[in-house]
Amino acid sequence: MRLPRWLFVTLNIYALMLAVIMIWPFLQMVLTSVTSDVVFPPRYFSLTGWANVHWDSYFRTMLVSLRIGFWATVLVIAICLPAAYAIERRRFRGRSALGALIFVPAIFPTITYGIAIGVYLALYAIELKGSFPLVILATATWTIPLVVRTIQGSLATTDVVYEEAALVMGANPIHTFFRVTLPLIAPGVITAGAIAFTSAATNFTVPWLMGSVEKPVVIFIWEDIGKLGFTPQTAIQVLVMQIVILGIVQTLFVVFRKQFRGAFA
Amino acid sequence: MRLHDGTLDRAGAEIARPIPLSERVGQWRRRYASTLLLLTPLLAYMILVFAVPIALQVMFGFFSRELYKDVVWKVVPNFTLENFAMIFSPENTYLSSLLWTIGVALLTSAVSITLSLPAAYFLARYNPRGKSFIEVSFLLPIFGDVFTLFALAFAFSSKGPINWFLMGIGLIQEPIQFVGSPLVVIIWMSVPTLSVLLIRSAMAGVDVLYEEAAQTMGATSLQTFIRVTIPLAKRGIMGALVLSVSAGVGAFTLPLFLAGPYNNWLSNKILREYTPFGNFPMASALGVMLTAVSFLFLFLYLRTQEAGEKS
Repeated sequence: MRLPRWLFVTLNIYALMLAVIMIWPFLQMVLTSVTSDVVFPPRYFSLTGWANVHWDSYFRTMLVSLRIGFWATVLVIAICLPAAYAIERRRFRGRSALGALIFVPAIFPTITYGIAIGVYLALYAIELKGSFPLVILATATWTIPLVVRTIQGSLATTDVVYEEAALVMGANPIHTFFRVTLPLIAPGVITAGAIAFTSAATNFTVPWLMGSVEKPVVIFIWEDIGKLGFTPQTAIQVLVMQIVILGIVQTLFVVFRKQFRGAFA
Repeated sequence: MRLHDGTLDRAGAEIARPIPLSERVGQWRRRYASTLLLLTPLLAYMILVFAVPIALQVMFGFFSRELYKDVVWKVVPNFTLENFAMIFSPENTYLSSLLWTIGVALLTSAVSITLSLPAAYFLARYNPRGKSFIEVSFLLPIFGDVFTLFALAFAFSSKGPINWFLMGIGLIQEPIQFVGSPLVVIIWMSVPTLSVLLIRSAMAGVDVLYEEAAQTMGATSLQTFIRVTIPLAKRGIMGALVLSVSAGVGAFTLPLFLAGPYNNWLSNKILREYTPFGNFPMASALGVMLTAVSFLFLFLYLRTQEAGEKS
């Protein structure tokens, strides 16, 4: 329908305003990181905060976060890729029920799941509490719904004809999958991996509740706030974390840009 | 085929011949074995890492604890409803905190969905200035809420931009102490985020013809939007609402970071039963309650989806 001019402009401004609210946390962090106190509008610009961060322990915890992200991504892709393929390409009884069941972690409260695992470990396997593999297992669970859905969507939009052609010409199913299907759905798999990586590397609740022995960077920043309160150093640490993690995701897209040709068109 | 005299011809006899079990198993295996193999990792993972801890949590919810040698609390495996009775007894704060959690989730979701409706419709139908900028920025919440949480603490601090703005337009004289009060959590939960994109795709699915028909018959833009577009996009909107409510019910980091460790959210009560108090059965029982609430909303959502399919 045609909108009157004033309404169009108002709605446009409204949408832009909401978008700015979404972007604004990043701007806020940039602004706070170059001031010496947290007053708005800023009075004193200084970079002393950058010198006050304990960079060596910061980057040690950063490495832990990246390792959690990496292994959780590897695990979740290895599990979800075959499952997404089966759900999308095969027909079997209970297929739609399975598709719905996979969504359960998405609506499951994080705290409940974290406590469930925490209590279970505290009572039966206290020596495993906070061990690295368990933290990875527990953080990976959250990413399953998004990863399965993303890969499934990618499979749904690629034509089965190519796979069938390869099979008709005598390639075995495994060969077909790795040489034909996987290159075709690569954008979906990479996007799913990026989502899983970001979500696992920035997860606070699960490593915290499980008492992770090796602290990820989010917990490091959280403990820093407990000691010092919200200072410009906090903003710097969060900003660097944001840049590193989003930078890795961005690098992933640049490295695989060939696979993405036409994917977002 | 059945012949004139009622007996079967050879092809018919072949079909009617009972299939031996071994052959049937073989058939089944040929058809489904590879599918099962593909699904096994995910199923095993979901059962071992997800279903088992949750099932045990439900079990622990019915257990009680006793003091062992006057030092540590031990979980005692005797079936009791005591924990749930304690949750619902008015002397404790659990019930009020459960109601508070659900109430805030419902209120903020309603506000957030209402605020996102015009933006979603606008993005679905028109080509505004800075469209790609708007769309990309709504995707940012996917990258985790940690980035946002810390920024919120700075923005809502007593000398932060929000207070500066409110004092600048003369609305308040003294800075409001947002951080450490539930106010900042409620405000941020009411801001539309991903729901805009969800509702946008629902509204893009509504045929323009219906709107045009309504307009031709003399309805105003607002009437068309409320009476035609929203009912037709109802399923998508309900989906966004339920996702938003169940996220709000399970909100944990947002209240913990911004309203402090002594906030009234149920998730925080669970945490305190778990870590300082070490009352595992109570923590489990509260966890079961929270799960039950979010599944109730999922169930309601599925009901609305079914109703939408029938009509």
